[in-house]
Amino acid sequence: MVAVGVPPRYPSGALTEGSQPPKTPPAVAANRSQRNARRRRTTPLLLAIPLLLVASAVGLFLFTRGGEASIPIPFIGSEPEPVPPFDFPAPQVGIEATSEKTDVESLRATAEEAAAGAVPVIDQLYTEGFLDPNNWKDGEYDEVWELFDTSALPSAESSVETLTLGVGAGDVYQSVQPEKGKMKVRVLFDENGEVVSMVALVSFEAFAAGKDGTYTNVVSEGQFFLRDTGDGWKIYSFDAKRLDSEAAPPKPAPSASVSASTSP
Amino acid sequence: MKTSSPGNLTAALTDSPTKPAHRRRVALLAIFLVAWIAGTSLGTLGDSAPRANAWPMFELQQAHVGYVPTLDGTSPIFILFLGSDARPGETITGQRADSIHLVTINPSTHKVSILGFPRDSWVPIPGNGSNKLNASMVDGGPELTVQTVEELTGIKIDYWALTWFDGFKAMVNDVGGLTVDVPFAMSDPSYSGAEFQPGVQTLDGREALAFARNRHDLPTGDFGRSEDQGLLMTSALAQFNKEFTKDPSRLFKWVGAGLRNVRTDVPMDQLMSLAFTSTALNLKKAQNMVLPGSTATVNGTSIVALDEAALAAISNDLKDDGYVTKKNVPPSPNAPLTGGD
Repeated sequence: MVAVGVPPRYPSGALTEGSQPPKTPPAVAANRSQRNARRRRTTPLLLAIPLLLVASAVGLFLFTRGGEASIPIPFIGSEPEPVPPFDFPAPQVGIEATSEKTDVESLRATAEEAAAGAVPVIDQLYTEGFLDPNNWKDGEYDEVWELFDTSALPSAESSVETLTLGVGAGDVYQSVQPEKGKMKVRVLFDENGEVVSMVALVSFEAFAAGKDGTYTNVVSEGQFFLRDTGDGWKIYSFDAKRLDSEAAPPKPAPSASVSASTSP
Repeated sequence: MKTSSPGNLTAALTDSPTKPAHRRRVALLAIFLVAWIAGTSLGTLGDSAPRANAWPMFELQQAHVGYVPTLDGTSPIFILFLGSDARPGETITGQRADSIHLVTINPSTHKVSILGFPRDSWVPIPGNGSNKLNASMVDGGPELTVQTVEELTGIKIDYWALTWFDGFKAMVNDVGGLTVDVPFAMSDPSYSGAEFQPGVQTLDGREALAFARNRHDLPTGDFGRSEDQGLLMTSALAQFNKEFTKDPSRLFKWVGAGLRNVRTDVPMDQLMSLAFTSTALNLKKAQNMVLPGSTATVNGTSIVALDEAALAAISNDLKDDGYVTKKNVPPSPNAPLTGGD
């Protein structure tokens, strides 16, 4: 770690008592001072009681309605929200050779190794873009943009509403859970058997609960061209669609009594 | 125990005789805070039941976005496409180039033009005197043909690509056939094997090669054939673009099919850039031309004497922006069959 000298934001002593001697009130004013001090202590107490009661009531209310806190409550230093776990299953790998002399199957191991490098990129793209509430609640997707090559980055950022859950997702959605994902990877080789590029063909679905009580099937289909930039695999071309549709509310889990009543 | 109702609180605060103004401010602040918190929490009460209008209008995402890394230079890119006369077992680059087309792509205008050179064009070949243009490849491979065309036109050619009979057939088959709007009927069973009725049809590799080779059935012979070869190129570009739009990953299939059946000096990264750039071409304005000329004889050999004025005008236009101005576009050699210009 490199330590960098940072100039102080405030003049020394401006925020502290510093070395100035404490000002002692004259002895004749002691009784008045003590009374004033007591008043200064009691005034906040008087304020705090009703505020605490109201805050407790609000907290109780929010707690009993299932934690659907719809007013922003700042928690300084709060823990990040848990991210629903999601990984695309191992992709089917296709090979495109560019030399007529090449035995395609001889490239299989290299192709699968390369495809294994594409999988975490696409995993991150969809996890950070659609599932991580720490991103979509704020509408900020920095971890998504770092997956794109610099040439494709401006277009990617301007396509935020399609490549991610959107900048306003925090206003619309209450929760998002992954449903399913599918990926194929095609690997293009040069005549020497080196990987030139890959394209990942992706379909992804998630189930989103809206704050207005509606539900949505979030559907994304995309093709992402990747190349090794020396800084890992980056997306340099993309074609993505959003095909969201309204969804039925989730069916409640059957309880024992319901099961019993429907049993013959 | 005292309750903390606002009234009691206000009364308690006003008890202090020392700083009434300060206490009033504190009281007002407290009342404001209580009202704000209570109001905000009450405002959430209704949200326990669905309220469609309580949140920003819900919009289902139905969108399509994309980015294609096309070349963005303003200078035209010149590629010489060659078809070798090599038969199976022969060296591809050491045979005559019986199909010669200069393809120009302007990345900034998205225009493409294809200029066919009659194979029998009598031209100076650098270091080899004058000869038919197709002989240049026998003398010095594709590089000498490029040099010959460069000196003929004054255009600096960026790349060359060379295919051959079997390579061409395989390339067409590898992409699943080529959809072509055959402009007129063809019947050349003895030579090329071309047998076509006019209209849109998908040709396999053998059929596409027959279409490309047919000249005996055409009134202008090799001139008309060169234009038909250009038609295959624009048809291939159109099909590639259509497939890419539907399924971008098809780009790999086309690049693979091309490179397996072509010799070229285009570096791989440039080839990918060119492939992506081709997806953005405006093919409705594609030019498919053949250099005009007349037949003549040199030492008892039939040759083509190129129209020097047309050659100069077309070359200058291509050098300028890769596109030939309307007044300099030569008449179509197949016009007698198509009824066009």
